[in-house]
Amino acid sequence: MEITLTHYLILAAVMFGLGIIGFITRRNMVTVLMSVELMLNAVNINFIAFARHFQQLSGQVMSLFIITIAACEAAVGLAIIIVLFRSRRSINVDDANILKY
Amino acid sequence: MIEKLQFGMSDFVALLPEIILCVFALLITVYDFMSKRTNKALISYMSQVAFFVTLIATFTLIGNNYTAYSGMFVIDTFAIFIKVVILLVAMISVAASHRFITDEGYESGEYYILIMFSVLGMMIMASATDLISVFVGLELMAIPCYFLTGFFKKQNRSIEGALKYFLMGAFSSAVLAYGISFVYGVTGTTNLHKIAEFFATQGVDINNPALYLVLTLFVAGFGFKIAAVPFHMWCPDVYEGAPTPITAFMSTAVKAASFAAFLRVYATALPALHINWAPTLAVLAALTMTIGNIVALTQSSFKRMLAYSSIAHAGYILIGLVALKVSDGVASVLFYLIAYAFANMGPFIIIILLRTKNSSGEMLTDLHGLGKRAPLLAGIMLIFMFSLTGLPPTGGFPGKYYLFYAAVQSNYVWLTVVACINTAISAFYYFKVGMYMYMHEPRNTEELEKPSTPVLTALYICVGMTLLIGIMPHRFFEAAKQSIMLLTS
Repeated sequence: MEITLTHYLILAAVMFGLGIIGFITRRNMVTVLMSVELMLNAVNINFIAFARHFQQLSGQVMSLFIITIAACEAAVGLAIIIVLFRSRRSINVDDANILKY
Repeated sequence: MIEKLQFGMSDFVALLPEIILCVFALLITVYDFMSKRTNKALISYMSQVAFFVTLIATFTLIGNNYTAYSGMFVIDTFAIFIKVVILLVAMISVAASHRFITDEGYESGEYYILIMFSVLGMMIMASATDLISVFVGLELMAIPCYFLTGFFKKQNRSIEGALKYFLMGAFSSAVLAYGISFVYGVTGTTNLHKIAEFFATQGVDINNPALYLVLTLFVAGFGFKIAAVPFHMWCPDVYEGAPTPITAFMSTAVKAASFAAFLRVYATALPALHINWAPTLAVLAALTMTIGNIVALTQSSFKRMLAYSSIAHAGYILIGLVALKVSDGVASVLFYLIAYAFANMGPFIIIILLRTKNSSGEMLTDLHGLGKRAPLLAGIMLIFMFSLTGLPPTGGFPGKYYLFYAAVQSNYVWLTVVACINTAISAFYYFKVGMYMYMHEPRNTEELEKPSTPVLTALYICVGMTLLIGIMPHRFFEAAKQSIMLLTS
C-alpha cells in the first residue's frame, strides 16, 4: 500500500488530538508541557506532508521555525515549572489555585 | 521550485525601526551584564531612548507602501499607525515601572530588555504579510510576556499568573499553527496576498471541510490572544497576578498587536470567506462583551475588574471585524484601539500610585474617599472611567460611536443593540468607582507617596490624549481612515 498525503494528515490529526486530550486531562505540569509539544509536532508533520505534496520548500521552512519556537516554549515552560516548584513543592496544575473570583 | 531570495536597500529600510530597536535591546543586554547592581535606573532611561529613536524611525517611514523580504513584511500606514500606538504604550509602561519594581525589590535590567523584545515582536506582527512572520512575531511578543508576568518570582500569584498565561499561550499558539498548516494545505502558500489571490481565482469551495477547520482554528487561536469569550479564562488571573505596569502593557499593547495581526490576516487573506465567518464573530463579540461586563460587576478587586472590563472592550472591538466590509469598519477598530489604549493605561497607573506600605492599592476599597485623599488623582480617574464607559468629552465616546455606526451599516442591528445594553451595564461598575471615590469616607488614611516625575508625566499624557481624542475625534479618525486604504486592496 502506498502511503499518501491523507495518511500523514490522519497521523497528524491523531497526534494533535492526543495532545489536546493530554493538555486537558493531565495534572502534572511536565506532562502538560509535553502535550503542547506533541501538538506542535503534529503541525510539523502537516507542514512537511503538504510541502512534499506541493513539491515546495516553504512548508519545510515553516516547520523549522516551529521547531525553534517549540524549543523556546519548552525553555520558558521549564523555567516557570522550576520557580513554581521552589515556592510550592509541587508541580500539580491543580495546586495553582490562589487566583480566582 | 526554489525562488531566489534577493535583499536590497529597500528591504533594509522597511525593517529599520525593528533593527534599531533590536540593536538597542542587545546593547542594553550587554550593558546590563557589565553594570553594577545599583545602576539599573539608567537602563530604564536607556530603554526610553531606544523606544524614542524607534518612534522617530517609524515616523520617517510614513508615506512608504511596499512589501519587503519577498512579501514577508510590509511597510504601510496601517503598520505605522499600530507601531506608533504600541511604542507610545511601551514608553508609558516603562515610565510607570521603575519606582514600582524598585519598591517591590525586583530592580533589574532584564525587565526593560524583555519589554523591548516583546515590543519588537509586536512591531513585526503589525507589519507581517506572511503567516510565517505573523506566527514568529506573535511568539516573540508572547514569550517575553510570560516572563514579565512571573517577574515577581517570590510572589505566588505572579508565578501562578505566569503559569496560566504560559499554558494557555502555548496551547493557543499550537492551535493557530495547526490552522496555518491547513491554510498552507488548501492554498499552497503562506503569503497573505497570494492566499487572497488563490481564493479570488479559484473561488471558495463551500463544501471543503478544511476551510471551516481553518476558520475555527484561527478564531480560537486569535481569540485566545485577544481574550475573547469563550477563550478568556486565563485573562483575569494573568492580569491580576502580573506586576501592575505589565498588566497595563498587556491589556493595551498586546491586545493592539493581536488585533492588528487578526485584522490583517482576515482583511488581506480571507476577505472571500467574510460571509462565512462574520456571523460567528458577531456571536463571539456579543458573548465577549456581555460576559465581560456582567462578571466585572461582581469583582472586589479593582485590578480584576479592569481585567474583565478589558475583555468587554475586546468584544466591542470585535464588532469592527464583523463590519469589515463597511468602508469605515476597520478604521473604527484602529480609532477604538488608540482611544482605549490611553484610557486603559491610566487606571493602572493610578493603582501604582495608590500603593502604600499597608495596602496594594488594587482593591476597590482602596479607592474609598480618594476624592479627599488625593483630589487630583480622583478627578483624573473619573475622566478615565468616563472614557471607558463611552461618555463625551472623552475618547471612548467617538470610539464607540464609530464602531456601532459601522455595525448598523453592515446590517448587524441586533449586535448594536446588545452593545448599547452592554454600555449601560458597564456604566454601573465604572460609576461605582466614582461613587467610592467621592461618597465614601477613606478607609486607609495613610499618606500617599509623592509620585515620581516619569509616572506623573505618563499619567498626564494618558489623560491628555484621552481628552484630546474626545475633543477632536475627527483628526484621529481621518488618520485611521488613511491608514487602512491599502489594507484590503
